[in-house]
Amino acid sequence: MSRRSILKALAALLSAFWTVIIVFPIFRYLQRPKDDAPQISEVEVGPESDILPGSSKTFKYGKKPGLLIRDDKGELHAFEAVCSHLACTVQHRPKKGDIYCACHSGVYDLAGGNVSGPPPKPLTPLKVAVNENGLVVVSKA
Amino acid sequence: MWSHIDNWLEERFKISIIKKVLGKKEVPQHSQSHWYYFGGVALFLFIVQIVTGLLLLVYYQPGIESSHPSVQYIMDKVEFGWLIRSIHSWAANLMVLVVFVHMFSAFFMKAYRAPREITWLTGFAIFICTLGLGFSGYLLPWDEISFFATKVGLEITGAAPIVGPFMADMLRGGESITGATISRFFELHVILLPAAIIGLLTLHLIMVQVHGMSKPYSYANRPKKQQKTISFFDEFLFHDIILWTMMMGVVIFIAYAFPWGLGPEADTFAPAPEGIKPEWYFMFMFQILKFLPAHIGPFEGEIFGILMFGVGALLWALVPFWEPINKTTSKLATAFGIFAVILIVSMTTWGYIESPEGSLVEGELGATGVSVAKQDGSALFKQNCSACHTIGGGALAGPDLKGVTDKDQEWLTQFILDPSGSAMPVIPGVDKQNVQAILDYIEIESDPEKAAAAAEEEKLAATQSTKALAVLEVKPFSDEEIENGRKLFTGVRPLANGGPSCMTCHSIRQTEEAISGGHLGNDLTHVYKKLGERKGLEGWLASLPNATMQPIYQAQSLEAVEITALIAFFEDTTRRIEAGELPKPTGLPESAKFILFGLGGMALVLVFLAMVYHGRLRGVRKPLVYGNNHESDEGEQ
Ligand code: FES
Repeated sequence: MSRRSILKALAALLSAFWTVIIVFPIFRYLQRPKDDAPQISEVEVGPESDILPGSSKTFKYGKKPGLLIRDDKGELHAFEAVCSHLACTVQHRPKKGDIYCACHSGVYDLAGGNVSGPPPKPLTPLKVAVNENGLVVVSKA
Repeated sequence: MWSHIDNWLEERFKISIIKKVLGKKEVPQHSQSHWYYFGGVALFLFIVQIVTGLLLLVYYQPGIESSHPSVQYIMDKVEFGWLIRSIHSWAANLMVLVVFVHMFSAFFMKAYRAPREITWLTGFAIFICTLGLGFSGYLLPWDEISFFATKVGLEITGAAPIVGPFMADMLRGGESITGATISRFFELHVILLPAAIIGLLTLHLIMVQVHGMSKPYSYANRPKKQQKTISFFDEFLFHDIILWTMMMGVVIFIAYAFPWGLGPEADTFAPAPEGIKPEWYFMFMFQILKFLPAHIGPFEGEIFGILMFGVGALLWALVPFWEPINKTTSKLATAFGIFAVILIVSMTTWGYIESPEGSLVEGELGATGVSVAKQDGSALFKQNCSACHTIGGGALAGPDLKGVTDKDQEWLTQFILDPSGSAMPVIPGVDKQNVQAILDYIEIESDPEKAAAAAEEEKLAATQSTKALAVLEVKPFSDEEIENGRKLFTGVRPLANGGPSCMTCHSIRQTEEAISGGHLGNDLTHVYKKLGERKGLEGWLASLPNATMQPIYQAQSLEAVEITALIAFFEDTTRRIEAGELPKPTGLPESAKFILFGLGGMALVLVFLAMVYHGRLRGVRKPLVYGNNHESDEGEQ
């Protein structure tokens, strides 16, 4: 093998080393550290008696917004308040008795079913229970 | 296919022309030619700074609340974050050093002479910008040392005649260092100064291409045949690349072996900690200013000093214009340079030899505290100390303080003012007089006779600030209590009185998966032991006395049940650790091994490369390069 080719090979090796040495740490650095917050399994939203028929309450469900609604029949519903279309936060419209997404006028019924507009799926439902202290507890369905 | 690409590029960029120009470029070869490499190394370090700086920007959040925690976050949580920050800090210092060397070598080799004045002036401007980068970057982590160093630096800027006060206010964004200062320094550090350097550097490099490397007179005066050169493309560049690679290795190694630390967060009201000194490259100026008498002629000593620096820098920058023009070396300019080197080196050394505390920051402890009324001491003690200490009542989180005043009073005062390094928090807004009052109170309480006399009064005051604490029996906590504590900690169950949950600011390694909350507060994994188990924690949680928490929880204190639950949770954490149920915190990150491995491999390849390359020189070019190069080059300086 000629000197020249050895030299070339070594230079290539050096460059490869450098690329790894530099690119790998940068790549890892740019990945946001794993967020090891505990998976929220349940949230106490508040006293059951506070939520009257036809009213609603928004709450934090982990890092997502949650929506707790009592319909006119007195039944409690809870959802992740994240629109199934492009993830805007939805709102309860007491007057119209529906759930509305203002981004592209998506409409859901109070059970979370998609009624009109672009949303392709119902809202993700959450399980609702009332504990011994009279608090509404929302957890994963 | 390659030829296609080649052609395409050639048509657009005319690469052959660039190649031709570069191919012709030659670098003079003489006894002083190694100095030529420093410019390249400075450029390389600047590139390192830009790359690592851009990376730091991904996580850094400038602001009085966020600067320090975000740097902490980079160092603790982000993979390789500690390394990248450490490289940024070390490479910054090396860059300043290399720029110094490059500038001085250019000065002594008289590389500034016509027609290279512009090269010199742009170089000088880059030097100033580099110092500016160092100064502005120093503040950004917002730790104690950086805060005071900046404070002193701006104070001195402000003392400069006429423009001083204006400039200092401009930089500070007001009369004192605040969040506004961070914003301004941030902008300077990441936008203005780098942009200025890039612009100046472009001009600087173009000028170097236009005029070629400057030749010392002794070299230029030789007969043409004896003016040895090496080709820029590939030989000089090859040396450059080897040097850069080594430099990178050195930087990574230093950054790895001596990771750049982060001090405690700056507290704008705390007294200056010991050991405040400027960065080494400003040391000589501080030392000179310190050393000047109070008055020189009509001037104040300090102002005179600053004026002299200004004049000196101006003379330095304008050397191509005042140096007597002749074709030999100018003794005058050389003497000026030597004087500058001696002054800088000796003053810097002196500054470091002198007591490390320095006297940059005048002790502002003021007159000794006048003894304040006893009631004050009692109230202060109740408010700030009683959560963790008793006087004669046994140890809580902190030791029993009975008789503690027999110790060295001065030491005690200092310790209470700044208990960093111990578990004790700083008392919010404490000053020397408060401390004196507290100590007086402890002294009286420690003495049974005096205490009895004071007891009467005490009874009256006692009722107001004591808090009903959860009574803790010595029985194991129920699972329910532990679970409740976990919920309160993570915020699943909101605190009854509305304070933010622990996790907002604290993390804890409670399960296999650490509960990772905010980074404002300490990791609470070992808090149970640290604060004195049940009894100590109880006192602590009842008053949450540290400076950050107190204002928040004063109005939103924890309920007794909540305190019990949290203690149960912390105790359970400790139990789990002791039972070995939790993974041990990992030592050196994996990333460190990777670096070592990489450095080793690189060094090996470098050695090979150098060996083979040198072999090539000997074989092919030996007569050309080393022909009769060993004649003595008469001193260029
Ligand atoms: S995001 Fe809700 S309708 Fe488009």
